[in-house]
Amino acid sequence: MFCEKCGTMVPDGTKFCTSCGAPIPEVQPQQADVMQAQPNQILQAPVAAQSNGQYTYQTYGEANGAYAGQNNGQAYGAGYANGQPYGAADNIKTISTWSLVLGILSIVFSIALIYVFGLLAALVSIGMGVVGIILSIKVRKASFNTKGTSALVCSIVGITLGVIMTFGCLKCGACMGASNYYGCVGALYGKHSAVRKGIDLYHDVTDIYDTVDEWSDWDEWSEWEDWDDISDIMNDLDGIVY
Amino acid sequence: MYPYISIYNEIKIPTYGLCFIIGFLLAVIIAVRGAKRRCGSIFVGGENFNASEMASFASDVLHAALYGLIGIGIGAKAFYFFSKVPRILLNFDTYIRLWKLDKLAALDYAFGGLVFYGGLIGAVLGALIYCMQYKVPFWPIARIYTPLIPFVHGFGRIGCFLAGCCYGKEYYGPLCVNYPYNEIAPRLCEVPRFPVQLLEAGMNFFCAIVLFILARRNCDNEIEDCGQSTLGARANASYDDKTNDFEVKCSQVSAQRLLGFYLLYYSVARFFLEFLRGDLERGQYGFISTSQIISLILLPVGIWLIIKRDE
Repeated sequence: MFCEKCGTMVPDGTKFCTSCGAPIPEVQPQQADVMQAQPNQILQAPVAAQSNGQYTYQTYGEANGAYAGQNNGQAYGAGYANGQPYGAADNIKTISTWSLVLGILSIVFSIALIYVFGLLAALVSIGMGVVGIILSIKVRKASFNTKGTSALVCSIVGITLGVIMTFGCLKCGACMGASNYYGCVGALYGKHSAVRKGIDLYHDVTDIYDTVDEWSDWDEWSEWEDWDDISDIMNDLDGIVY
Repeated sequence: MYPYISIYNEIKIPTYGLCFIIGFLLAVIIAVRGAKRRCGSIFVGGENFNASEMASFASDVLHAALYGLIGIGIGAKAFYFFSKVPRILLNFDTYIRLWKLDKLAALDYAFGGLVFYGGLIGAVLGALIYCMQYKVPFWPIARIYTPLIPFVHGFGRIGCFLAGCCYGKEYYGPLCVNYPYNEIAPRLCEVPRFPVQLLEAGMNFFCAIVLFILARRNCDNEIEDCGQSTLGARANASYDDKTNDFEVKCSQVSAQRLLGFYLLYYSVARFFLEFLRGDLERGQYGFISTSQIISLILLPVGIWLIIKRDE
């Protein structure tokens, strides 16, 4: 049963709407399966629906084209105008699935993919977690089910891990700070000359010669010579004089 | 001094983030548990809600906290970026040189920091956006969260103290702090410093206690449906002829006045505490720092909220 005022779905027999507090009449309104499909009724429907006391549904198939077209421009207004409740938007199931998917993906990205894609994976996981939170809250407001709550929990965990991994990646230093946008894997296998030099040294010491050929064409340590320049520039920008 | 707390010496967790998360989790737990009870808890004052409103109030409090968390992240980073934009624009060619040398250092310069005021404004905006999107009243949520803002902020300041950011001026008196070398803030260890972060944390917790006490709801008899009753209380309650029921009169500081008190207190305190800060890199215009400017802007906002007629 839907509240006439705000459109939230409430269990049958509830006296007051759990969302807006409006009293719900005890008489069960006639739930017509077929809506009189007139195009201008979509925009005028709030007056029409309340004046005759009928609470009409819109069938999925019949006015679907008009509703979908309206949906892009003015989602909430069209939803109320059609007599379709806010929470039971026809894509709520899609939203709930997507929110769960985003939540789980954000966890996966922040833990597993950071080793391959580095900092980028952590930032992407934060973004997905944010969208996951927004979508899962939308699902929860429509109806409290375990899918929405689990999506919310996954998104929160994903964001937290993403933030932790962002800081961890920035300050970790295992790839000596040089290739955190290639990930740890990229760093350790020859993306940066300094890392290459270090690993080569290690291999010299431990007599593993079969991989030396990969690093035979060294670059100079040009990036590292610029380090003093970098900190000087940042101090210049801050206007600090030592 | 402890910029990271390590797990088995392998996984490094930044201390500031850890302290903030602990404070935020505690705050959300306090808020949601207090929101579930009609008469509130020791930390939450309770609202005059009927049953149907109560049903969704606790979940609204939780959702508003999440929107606020997103707002904190965006707002704090955005304010830091705004505080750096004048410097970047004034030395644009230098910044381009830095960008070419090391993109990550350039991004770190522009975005690598947080400003509390940005987080505060972002949190309030986040909760407001949530309330506007789902058509939920904002002020009951604000009343629950207003005393929790300095509560969380105090935890954050303790994290600042442990991490060595937001440090104080050079100071040789009692309780001065000597930090060990920290590559994030190289000038931190040069001189002993005033523990201004601890002072701010104390000031914030004091504010939180005052606001918790102010936000309480006082009913003229204890008969609110919290399971408490006092003998003869029904005899004292006034009988309302319209609803044919006894009316319990409760008084409570209005939520917007509470928020106004917090803004008033914090902007004044922050303005004066800024003089004890020693980290100049956070943005300075002559004698006034960015946070002092924002304090001067928020002070009349707080006064306006106190004086304004209740919504």
